[in-house]
Amino acid sequence: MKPKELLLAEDDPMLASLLKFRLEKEGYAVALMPDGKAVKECIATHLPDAIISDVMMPYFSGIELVDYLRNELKSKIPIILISTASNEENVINAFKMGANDFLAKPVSPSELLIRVNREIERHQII
Amino acid sequence: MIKSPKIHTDLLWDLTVLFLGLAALYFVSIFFFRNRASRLFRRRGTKRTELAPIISNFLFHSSEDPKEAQKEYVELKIGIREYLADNYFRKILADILFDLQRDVAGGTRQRLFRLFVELGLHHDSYKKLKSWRWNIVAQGILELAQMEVSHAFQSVAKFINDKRGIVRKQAELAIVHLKVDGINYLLDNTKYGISEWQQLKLIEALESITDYNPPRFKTWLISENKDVVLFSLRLIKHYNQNDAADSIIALVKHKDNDIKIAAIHCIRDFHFTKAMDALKLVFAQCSPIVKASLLDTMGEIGSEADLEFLKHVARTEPNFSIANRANRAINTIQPDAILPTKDILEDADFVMETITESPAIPSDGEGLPVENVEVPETGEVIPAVAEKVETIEIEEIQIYDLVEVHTQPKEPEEEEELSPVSEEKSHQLEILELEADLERSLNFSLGLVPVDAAEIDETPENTDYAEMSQESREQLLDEMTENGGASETPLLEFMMEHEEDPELRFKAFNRLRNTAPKSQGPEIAEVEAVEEVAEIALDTDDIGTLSPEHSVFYSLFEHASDLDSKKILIKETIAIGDEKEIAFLNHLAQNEGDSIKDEALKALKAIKERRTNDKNVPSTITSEELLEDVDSIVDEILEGSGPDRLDNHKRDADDGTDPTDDRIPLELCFIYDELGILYNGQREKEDLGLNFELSQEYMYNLKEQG
Amino acid sequence: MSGNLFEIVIEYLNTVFLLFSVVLFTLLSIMGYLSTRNSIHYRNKNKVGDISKVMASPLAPSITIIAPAYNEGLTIIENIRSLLSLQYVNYEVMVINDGSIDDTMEKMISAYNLVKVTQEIDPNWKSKPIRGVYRSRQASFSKLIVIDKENGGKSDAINTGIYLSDSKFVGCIDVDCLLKPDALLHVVKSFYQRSKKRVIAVGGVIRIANSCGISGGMLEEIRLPKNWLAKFQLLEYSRSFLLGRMAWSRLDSLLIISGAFGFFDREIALAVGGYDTNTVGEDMEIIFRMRRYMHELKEPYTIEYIPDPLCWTEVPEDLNILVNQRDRWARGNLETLFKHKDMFFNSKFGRLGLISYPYWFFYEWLAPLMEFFGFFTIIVFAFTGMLNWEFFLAITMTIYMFSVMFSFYAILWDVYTYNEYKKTKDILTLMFCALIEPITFHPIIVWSAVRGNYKKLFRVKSGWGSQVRKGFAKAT
Repeated sequence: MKPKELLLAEDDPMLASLLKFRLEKEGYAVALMPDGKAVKECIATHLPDAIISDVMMPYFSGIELVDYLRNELKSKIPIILISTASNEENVINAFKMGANDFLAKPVSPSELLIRVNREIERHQII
Repeated sequence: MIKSPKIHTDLLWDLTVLFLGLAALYFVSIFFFRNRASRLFRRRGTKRTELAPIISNFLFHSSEDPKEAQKEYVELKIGIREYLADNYFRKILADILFDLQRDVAGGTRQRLFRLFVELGLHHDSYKKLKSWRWNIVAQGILELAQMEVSHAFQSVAKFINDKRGIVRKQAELAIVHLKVDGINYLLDNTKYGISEWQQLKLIEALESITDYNPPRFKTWLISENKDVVLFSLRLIKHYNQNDAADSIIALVKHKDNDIKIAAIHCIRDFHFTKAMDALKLVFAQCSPIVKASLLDTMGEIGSEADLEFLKHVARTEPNFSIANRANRAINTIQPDAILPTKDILEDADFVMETITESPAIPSDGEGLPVENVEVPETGEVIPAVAEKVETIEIEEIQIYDLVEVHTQPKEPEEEEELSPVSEEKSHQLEILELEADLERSLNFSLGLVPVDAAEIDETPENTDYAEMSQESREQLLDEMTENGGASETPLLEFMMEHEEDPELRFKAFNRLRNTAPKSQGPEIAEVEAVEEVAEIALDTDDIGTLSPEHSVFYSLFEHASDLDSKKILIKETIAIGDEKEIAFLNHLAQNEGDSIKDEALKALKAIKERRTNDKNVPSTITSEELLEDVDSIVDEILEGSGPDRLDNHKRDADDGTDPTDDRIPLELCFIYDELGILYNGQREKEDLGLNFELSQEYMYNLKEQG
Repeated sequence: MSGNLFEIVIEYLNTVFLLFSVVLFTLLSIMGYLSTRNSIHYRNKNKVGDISKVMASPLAPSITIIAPAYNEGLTIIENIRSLLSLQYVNYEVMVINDGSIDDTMEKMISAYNLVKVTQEIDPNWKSKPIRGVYRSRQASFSKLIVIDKENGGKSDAINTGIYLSDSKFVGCIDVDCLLKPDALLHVVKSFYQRSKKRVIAVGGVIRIANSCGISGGMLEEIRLPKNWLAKFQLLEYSRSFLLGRMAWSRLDSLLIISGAFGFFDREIALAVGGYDTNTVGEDMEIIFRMRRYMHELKEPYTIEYIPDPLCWTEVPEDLNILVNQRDRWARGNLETLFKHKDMFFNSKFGRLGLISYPYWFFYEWLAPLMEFFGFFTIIVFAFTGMLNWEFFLAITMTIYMFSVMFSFYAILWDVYTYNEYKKTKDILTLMFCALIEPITFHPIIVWSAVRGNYKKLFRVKSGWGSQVRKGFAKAT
């Protein structure tokens, strides 16, 4: 079976690499993106099975990304947001825009994994 | 400037050249620093990308990995030993781990700390403690604290009276981080002042300790260090320790304004009415800011006997805003005294709270009597307010609805707007529900307001549901069983919660169990709650911290009518109890009459025995294993018994509705008992003694207590 | 005979000028040293502290941000939105509509769903009458309070805010300032980190936002201003904030907190009666008064300064506005110094009387005048043929080189500490500015200061003028 493709957008390379490793270990194919711009370019050509994105990113924030995916591309693929500043307004905005899940930093990689699994499963059912 | 009598032109030229030279030097330095900074940054970047996969490998290594991965792991482990001799390498590695520590949580974080020590990086931090530069020492302390190198406590503790401020402050934070009773050590030994900022950081450090059992901070109210007294007062207030009335009241007379104010806040929060005389006594000598909080507190705790004093203040006080506050306090104590022009909305909370009783809101008061208990006599002010400024009232109601929605079942008020028929029905529903739902009402009697997911999740569907007839409800449920998805979960939860027909409830429950694995909480609030529950389960290694209230039997016991039924209850605890009941039984053994005490002791013994023998009980397995020293678990993990074990446990605890376990909610047990229904799953697992799970609602209560 | 006397006078003049320059060089060098020490200390200190988690702490004090607005209809909605999104829990934003004659008030009411609430106001309160206190109906804007009052100027507006606020600390900012999200955390830390002294006020750097990329009330990209006047001001601000104030802060003798970003302990600010409404240098004057008050109380106190770039604002790009602004600063300076003249070399006020005040008197107030008159003397000498060209050239070069060197040092420090301008081209541009500043921008500043002093000393009537709101005491 073809591995599920994940897109991981996180500007801190260390954390990004750590999460990538964990997710790959679980059998996902993970593409790393250092900033929002790269994500935007990437999803314009090919949509992954799910997106995990930091909210605070250079050039194109996670919230904008959600907006772009849901309203421009009309895509329903699962999006999980990660953010340090759990600014309530931000979180609410993200959910309003159509993000599927939200994780506050510090992130537990195992927890992220569970949530990714769940979102992907749920997406498949729909 | 015809001529230069004293200074030679040459000297000026020399100076010019000097300045030119300096300017040139700065010019070069500017580019040197820029280049160096970006070079270091780049070098760090490349090193980091190099090391990242290695660190990940270490952190997520597991003995169940395929052979190749195992081999790679061993090779990496040997390889890294060579590099560790290099100082620069160690520094980079330590930096990386230190940065990562901020971003990761859970089991990975614990493994990270282990890795830090295993690689011997903490030795470098120790070395930093010996530096003569304060910033290096502070950095060393910070590293040891953040990486939770617990045996560093002694080395760090000696810095808490260091004369270099930053070092001292780091050491103070570190000892609170490193040891659970670090705060005691700090308060006992510190000789220096504790700045407000430091107090803030210390509380933050205390909050980060899971399952923290704070000491009685009144011990330090007699300290000679003014800041220790102030900080203790704040901690007392923060941790709600209301057993130090006399000391606190005495501190109102302290000469320091901050201490005065902190003491006054405690008095207000704990409602020490006997402090009234002391408050009046000090009033005249206080600064305006202290006077303001004195008057607010007097308003809160005062009685009619104190009105004379307040009126006197209101008459004689020259400062307008203070006099104004005195009037406000009078109104709080005796609403009739309200003066027609006095401010009504300056304090928004004031109205928000009291409006609960206002007739303007179709309140559900009759359904949930306990919720309105906190409404003080101030409620009577409201009619006056309502008449005077209508627009404002509307505003407040809107805010109120937004803010408070999750503590109130919303459907009754919405229905009242819809039609009179449904209104009647909804009330009926509520009463029936109260009668049927034993667990719920018990929770109420404990004074806890259930905040459960179903209520937060309220969708329009739910209100529709309440209006449906029995048949259409059944139909809806069947439909959902056929084509339902995760989106139904809230409705199902609502059904379980509010449906009066046990059969429908059961159906809903079953349906929910089928959807649950795919949708473990579609909402953040719920997800968070589940995590909290998991945390509670994880942290049971310290039984001492569990209070008797944690036991399911506590509330039942409180409501048992006679001695016999109490005894029966205790016997029941033998059958199904776990460590949560131990605290409860201990409590009984200490506080109850002889016959109960004997029973309790017996039960206690039985449970303890069973806890050591019986490791197959599904629901205790998590806590049982976690009872072992956390360290040993981490050990196991690192030695290779599977790094994901912690997470697996967590996952187990996470979904109480895991499809593989057939536990059912406690409420359903009761209902089954009443109706004589036998549940299949229940029978199969009978021998295990534990055939119910705690409802989420119960867990919420636990969370609120803890 | 008369020629002889004339020569003696000139010799003395020379000596005075020289002495003045030498002392100035020395002082500036000391300042450079002190600020370097202080910056390094500050950096080391803050390496070990993480401020982000404190925002929701139960001990976090309340702060009210007071933003006076006069005819800001065009930008007010966005500006408020930016103020409402700061990273802090226990704060409120109090916008004071200072009798605007445009649609500022109407715009706020409709955009934020405001409604009038009743509030009891001291009938003896001395500021201009308050027309109403407004709050939002929406819970999401619960942090916003709008005060509508009759026009009384910036100081009067802020005084009203200080009076109506209930918080422990009040912040006075220009409504068009852009605050970094973590600004309040830094402020709280500065107020709270002392255990022996009471921090009565906190000031910060003002950074220049001209030409920067701003979207949604957030600073997205930092760029060097395109306008040359703004570039010169940027250099000037770097010198003044990174070197000057940092050094004063090291000596605990800070005398000025910019009106664009200044926070006060409300209790003290109220006790001294708030801003003086009769001066145009109110932001400097209040510090003098607060310091005086604390000296008289004999309580240990300090004023903190935050060098982190927290507040960004636009500086005038128009020559006229700039001249008017500096003219006003000069007048404010003079008024304040005159009002507190008893502090001059008065040991009762400690460093304030012995160092800060004299420095301010000689080098902030007198220096531009000296330069101006020196310039004229030289012209006169040149025409009368009495000018020793060699000496003149030498001393001009010395002064010029010193000023270039000092600017370079400021740039170096800017690069070393915050390194905001990433492009090498930007740095070179700034250096070029430093090279030509003494002969281009500096004369403008001197001229403005002289004009201000002339107006004040010869009682030419001039208030804030119509340009006021654009400039609005941007910095200093």
